[in-house]
Amino acid sequence: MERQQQQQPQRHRGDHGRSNRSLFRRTVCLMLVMGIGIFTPLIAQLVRLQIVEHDTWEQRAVSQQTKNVTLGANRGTIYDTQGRVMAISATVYRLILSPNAVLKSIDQDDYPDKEGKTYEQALAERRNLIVNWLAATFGYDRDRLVQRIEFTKSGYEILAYEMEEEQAELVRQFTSENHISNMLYLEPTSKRYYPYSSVGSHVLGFMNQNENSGDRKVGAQGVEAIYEDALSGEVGRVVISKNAQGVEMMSGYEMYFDAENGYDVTLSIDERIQAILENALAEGVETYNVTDGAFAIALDPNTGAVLGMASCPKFDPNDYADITDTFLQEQLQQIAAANGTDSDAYKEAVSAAFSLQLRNKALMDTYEPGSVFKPITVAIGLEEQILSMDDTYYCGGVKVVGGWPIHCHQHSGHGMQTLTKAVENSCNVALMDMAEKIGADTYWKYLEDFGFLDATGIDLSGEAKCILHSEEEFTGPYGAASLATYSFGQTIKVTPIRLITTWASLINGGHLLEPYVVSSIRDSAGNTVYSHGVKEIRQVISQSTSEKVQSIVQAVVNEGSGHNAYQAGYRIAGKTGTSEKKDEDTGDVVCSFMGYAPYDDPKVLVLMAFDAPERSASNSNYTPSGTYISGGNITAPVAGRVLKEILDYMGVERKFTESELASSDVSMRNVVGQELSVAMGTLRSANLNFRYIGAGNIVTDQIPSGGTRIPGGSTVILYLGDEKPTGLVPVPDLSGLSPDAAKSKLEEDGLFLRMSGTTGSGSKAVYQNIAVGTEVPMGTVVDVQFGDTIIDYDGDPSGAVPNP
Amino acid sequence: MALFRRKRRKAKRDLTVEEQLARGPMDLPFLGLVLLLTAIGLIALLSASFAYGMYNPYPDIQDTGGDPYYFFKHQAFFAVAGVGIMLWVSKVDYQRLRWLGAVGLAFSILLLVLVLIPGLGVAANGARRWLKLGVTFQPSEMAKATVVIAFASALSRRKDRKGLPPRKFNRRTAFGRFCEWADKFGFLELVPYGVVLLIILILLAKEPHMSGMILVCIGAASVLFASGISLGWFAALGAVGAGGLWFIITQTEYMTKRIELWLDPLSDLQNGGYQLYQSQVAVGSGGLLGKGLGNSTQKYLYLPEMQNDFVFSIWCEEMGLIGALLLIVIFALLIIRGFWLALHARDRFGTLLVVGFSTLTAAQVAFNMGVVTGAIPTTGISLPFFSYGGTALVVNLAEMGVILSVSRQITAPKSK
Repeated sequence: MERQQQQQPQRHRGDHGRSNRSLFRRTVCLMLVMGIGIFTPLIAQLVRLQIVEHDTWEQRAVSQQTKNVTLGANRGTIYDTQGRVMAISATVYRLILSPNAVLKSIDQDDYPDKEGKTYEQALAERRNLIVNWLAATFGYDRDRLVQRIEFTKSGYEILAYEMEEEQAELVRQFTSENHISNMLYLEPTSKRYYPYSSVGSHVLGFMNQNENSGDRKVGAQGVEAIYEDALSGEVGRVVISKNAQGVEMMSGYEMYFDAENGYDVTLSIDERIQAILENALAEGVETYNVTDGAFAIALDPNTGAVLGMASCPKFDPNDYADITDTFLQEQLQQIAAANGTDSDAYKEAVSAAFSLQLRNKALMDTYEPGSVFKPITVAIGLEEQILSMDDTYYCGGVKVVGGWPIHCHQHSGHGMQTLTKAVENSCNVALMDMAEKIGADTYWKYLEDFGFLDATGIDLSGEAKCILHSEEEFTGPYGAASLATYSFGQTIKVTPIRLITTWASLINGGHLLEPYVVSSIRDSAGNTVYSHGVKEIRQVISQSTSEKVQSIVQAVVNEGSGHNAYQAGYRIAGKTGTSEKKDEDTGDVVCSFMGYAPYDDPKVLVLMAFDAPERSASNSNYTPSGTYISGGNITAPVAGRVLKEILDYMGVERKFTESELASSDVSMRNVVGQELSVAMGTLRSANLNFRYIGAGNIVTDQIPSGGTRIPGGSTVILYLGDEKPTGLVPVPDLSGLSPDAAKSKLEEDGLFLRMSGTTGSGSKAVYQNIAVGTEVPMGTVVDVQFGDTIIDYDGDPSGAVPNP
Repeated sequence: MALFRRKRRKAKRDLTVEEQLARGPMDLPFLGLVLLLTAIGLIALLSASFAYGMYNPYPDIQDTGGDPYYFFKHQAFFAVAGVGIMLWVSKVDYQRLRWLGAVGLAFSILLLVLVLIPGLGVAANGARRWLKLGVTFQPSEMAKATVVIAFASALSRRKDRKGLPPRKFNRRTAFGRFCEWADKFGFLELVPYGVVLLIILILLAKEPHMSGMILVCIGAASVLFASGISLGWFAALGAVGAGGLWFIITQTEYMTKRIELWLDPLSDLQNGGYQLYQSQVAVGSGGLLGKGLGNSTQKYLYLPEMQNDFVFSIWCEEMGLIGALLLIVIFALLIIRGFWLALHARDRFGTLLVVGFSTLTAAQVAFNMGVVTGAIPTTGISLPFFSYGGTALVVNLAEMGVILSVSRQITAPKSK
């Protein structure tokens, strides 16, 4: 710089000097600005990007540059307790259309000349190719497809979510033939299959996407949801660096994260038992036009293992949004017919039906259990030795509690009765007396001990809490009415699962257990990683109290209000319940039955209830078909049959009393060719009656043929001389007939009767296993269930005590 | 050609003083910096364009034939040619540019007119900037250089007028009176520059060529500024320019969009925002030390046109903040050395020439890096010595040649 200043005055003078100084100053000024000034903000910006925000940008770079290939962690399979596959995953495909890629595949610069087409024509041609093929092959709506393919902003239109391999192969062929595999392509994804469709749907749950899972489907209910972590496993990943066109980078890298397959879950549920429950519910619901659904639980009372848990209406987890229940479908059709399918009313109804069918009533609903609760009251009194088996109770038809008259369902009263008889009669007055003796404080303590204040802890989500009065209210001065109504199971609302768990403790020696639906979990190598043993919460009552309660409920089926559940040889015990839905004020009732078998060694405990069977009129207690609406008439026969089927399935040996033995099945002897007198002796010794057709001394034919098992005491047909059996006969209508009448009506036609249920003189046929009019060969055995009309109404018609 | 012929005719010992001066030594630090940048630029371009060349993603726009070295080869050819031209230009006595400037300017304007004629001008991306006359090149590149040369030439004579009495005007006419009044403010002498600049700007605006307009203005302004034009005019012009800029930014859709993209590159991924965003991803993911030369991942087609305006972002990604700063320092040294040469130039013309070219270079570097790092909105200005493009590289090197030519005539310091 010094040099410069020396030189300049030498070369220039005067004004020139001033001018040159200005040039010098300004150039130096520019030098500073251009050489240093403008780079300063740049450096600041670089520091910000590369140092301060480095992590953010690197994250963004990595996320766009790496292809995350997920390695399929197969979702675990769900087995029932017998190893039947209840839920299994398989690979399916998503069909993706990229309207943007379609648009870009036609280069505007090539047109209008290329192949004599304009750009628009070429684009339309390609779009039509795709749209037409999709519409023709998969039947997609053409207009909708056109709309979507013209939405060119999008590069990712999902046309199908779960495409099976066969269809996927068609897509692959089509796209490779036409070189459009960047516009229409498949993405593998997995689909859950439920081989038994709706069986066990509420327990199994289903798969869908939620707000956190993104486009991955996760378990949404039941076991699928609660055991999501165990079932889903760890999705493995290969991270591959890729270029912007998705091709692997040349100098790229790969990282592997091994996939860990999901664990297999074994349920305590048995598919067969589950199906038995569901079929029984469906049949009951249809027979009695039950309006508010039904539920049933089968529990192993000794372990707490849930063998079956059914709720009606149910859904098909393969397509959980589809309304399959016929009752709901009818309702929807009615609304659709009245308002049209576009109406808000219809949409609301659809969404209501949808959430209704997903609802596991056995777990999520509470109801007033009614008389089914009575053995609990008795158990409390017996355990506290406030009650004794020898106590007697007088029922005059009404008891005044806290100034309110509370009626027995039998307004005339039951008179004098023993404790057992009082339960058999389902006498409300006697139960109120007992509760009064026990006292509110003790009663409340046992409600706590029996777990009514807690959830059962079952491994399913959505368990409701029982609804009780508060302790202060219940044990306080105004609690007398609550105590009285609790004693027969009104004004207390319990969940079915809680009720059956508590009931299990009544019959298993007093052990309150934790119910469960998943018995074990195994990893993919087969190692058991979890197993649910018997988990006892506490012992609530003693073994001896439990035995006493068992003897009482045994009598209910054998002699009392539950006798419609009777099945010869199966030793069923239980209690019916017909409870008012007080909070609804509709007069509808819940008809329920809690029973177990065999009573000397309980293998299964079943709770079954139908919520609001249709009544013939709003003030009527009868169904339109004339059945008195009560747990004893509606639920007990169905539940008895269910218990029979379950025990048969479980292979529990039947034990008959002597009278039962008389009608137990015997084997038909072959008497063809024998002399009539010899044949008669043979049949008599086999406990069979006979009649003969034709004349002669030699038996030429017989119905049934030798070896056929028919109930003892049946009348077989012997043919003498030239007479021959006439072949097929239609099964007659037996409904409403007494056992004797039914027997003779069947035997007239050469058919045999196998009776079940109550077979007293007042019994009437309520169920036959072969439909009326079916053509069957002569000699066929028809199973007929008989039942009595039982009036046991828990509610107090005056409605004295409000619900909690 | 004329220059050559004359040289041939004369014997070496008959060199004029001028010619002797012109054969002085080049400024070696400056030459070294230019060669260094050209070399680094080639390496950076090779790395940046490698993946694009290999994948050849848009064969109908630019067919590389899948050759990863496609861009490198072309650029290397131009670099060698450009360095040759630079050395040749440096030997030319820059005093000849005094008259060449005006001619060149006229020629440039002619080319700028020609480029607007469909058929001659080649349109791409909605702008008609390339002239196809045997070779394809941008007349705006030439316009930038000739504006600097012509302005430097005219303004270098400005001091000769300083001592003279004020010019006389015919006071009888209103025009005369106005001229006299305008001359007092120094307005009159600016009119020719203004007119020339306006013509060029209008022609460039027709293309349209925003970055060309900016650079022409900056080149012209730097020469005007250094030559001693009253600062008041710059203040006034600055105000007008700011107003104009405000108008363009807020009132024209084209610029509003660019500004919006700059503020939020993700707002429109289809149109340029994607590029800005990806550039910042590249720069930001480089971190302090970078991923190592050749290890850029963003160049795998994430960053569109990485070989054109975005070589620097790949450089930042691969070499990190350290590498970026190193490059900035080299550029800064080049520019400072350029100004140093300007300060020592033999005459005003030399000074103004070097100031103009150095400022042009500095502005291009700053604009390009600013865009790449997301500091300023997209301008479309390439990075000298780095961006792919033959015309630009050759013109840049030729400009450096002019500066070197000026450096030859600096009188050696007196020996102590």
